[in-house]
Amino acid sequence: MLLGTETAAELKETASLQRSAGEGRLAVAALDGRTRIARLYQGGSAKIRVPRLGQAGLEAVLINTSGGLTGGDRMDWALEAGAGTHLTLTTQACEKVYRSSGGRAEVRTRISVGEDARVDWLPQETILFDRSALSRRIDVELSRTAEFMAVEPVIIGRKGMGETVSGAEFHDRWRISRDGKLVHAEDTRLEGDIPEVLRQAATTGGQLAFATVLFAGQRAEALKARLNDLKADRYTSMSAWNGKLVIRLVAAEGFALRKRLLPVLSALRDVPLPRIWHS
Amino acid sequence: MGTATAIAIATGIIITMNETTGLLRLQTLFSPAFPVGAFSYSHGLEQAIADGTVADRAAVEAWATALLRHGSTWNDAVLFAQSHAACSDANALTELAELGLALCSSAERQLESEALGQAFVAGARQMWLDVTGLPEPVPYPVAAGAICGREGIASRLALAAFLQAFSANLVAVAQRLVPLGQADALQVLAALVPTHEAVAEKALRASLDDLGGAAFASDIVAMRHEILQPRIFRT
Repeated sequence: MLLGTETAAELKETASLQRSAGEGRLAVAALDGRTRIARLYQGGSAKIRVPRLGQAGLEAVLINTSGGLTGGDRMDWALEAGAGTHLTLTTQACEKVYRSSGGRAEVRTRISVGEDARVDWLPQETILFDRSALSRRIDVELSRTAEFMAVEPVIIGRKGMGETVSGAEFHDRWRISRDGKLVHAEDTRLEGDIPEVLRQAATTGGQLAFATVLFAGQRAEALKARLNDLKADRYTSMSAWNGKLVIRLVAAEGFALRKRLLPVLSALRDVPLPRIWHS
Repeated sequence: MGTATAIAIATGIIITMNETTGLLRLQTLFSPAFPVGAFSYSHGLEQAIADGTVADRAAVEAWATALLRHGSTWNDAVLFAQSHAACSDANALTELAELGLALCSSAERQLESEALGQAFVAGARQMWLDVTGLPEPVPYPVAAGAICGREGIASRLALAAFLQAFSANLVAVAQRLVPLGQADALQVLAALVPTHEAVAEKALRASLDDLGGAAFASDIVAMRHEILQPRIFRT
């Protein structure tokens, strides 16, 4: 979905949005050198689509059929990649987090990655609207030889639509363990007077989109070398150490962020990005 | 006693002998003479100054304030407070150390936290303080919080001193590189006092659920510092 093309329909949607809950679970296993669905469960507003792509790996598209999140909504995802599988997860649309009339939306994702398996967690952008409240938590369990890549792009309002965010509550927590030991943690927290927080040179210097990319695996340092052409500047940089590659990016708005992200994500994959990322 | 009396007169707070001991310990642990070598680390500020992002007194103050309120220093404050409270619980300290290291957002950030933590423990050992059973490696806020807790130094005082020492180090980097004059440096430190107090109070009421920030640009300069040439500071 293009950023910033829906208005009237969307306002209507906001007004009629009910508190919703969804739970989606997917387990994949390797069979004859290909990644196949082993178990699939979808409940409430959670749907999982698996397009047939003719590749060895499997791509799953996560869908929140309620069309967005608001205070009190709850989504739970559990994703399990068995030994030797390749699983790419993305979302059908940007996740819009609407004004909360009370409470916060909660999204919990649990991912486990077996030996010699790889999971790429590549959701599209999360868009925070004014007075929205979202608490998100991703817990990842890696086996010794597993690889895991993740991105979470976040956009504060849609600048092109003239939307401004004066206040919001956003907390995004990542906990990545390998063999039961915590190897990486991220806590992004934005709250209170958002323009004042983001105006600071040490935060984003007034820019309204940001993302963190993580690759965890033995190839972290080698993959960093693929990004040598990436222009490190005030708005993008990376570091590789202890079997991790972390890239941080900030950009003026969502489109600029996606333009920066695409070559980075492509370079870190051995197969093309999900088509949805190019639309 | 002289220090305690002077403070008691100045603030109206009555300080007991025990608190005086704690205060004197704190002055040692967070003085520039304490051998943590904090002066070798800029926490990415060297790169921000090289970029021209931080170019005057106001920018130094804003940079330090943002780290305290929305950045890595806030996380350190929470980890310090938790480690102070759990100072004699080896399992809890091990988990806090693991979390503190996992939260480091780049190679140099982890180098800085581990090196300062290790040096803090070594210095404390020289003073015959209780450093037994601390995790290894130990991030700086966990080492400092646990050791201050074991010494019985009040958490509010200890954490405020820890935060002030961190900011003082940033200001020292700015003095050298911006450069900032001594009067400007002192004014920044004076202006940051209420923030150190407020952040310490907030962190002492916080739990690990309150970790987190949005200091992306600070993280980015810390990453870019890895290849900055020439450079004076290790981070």
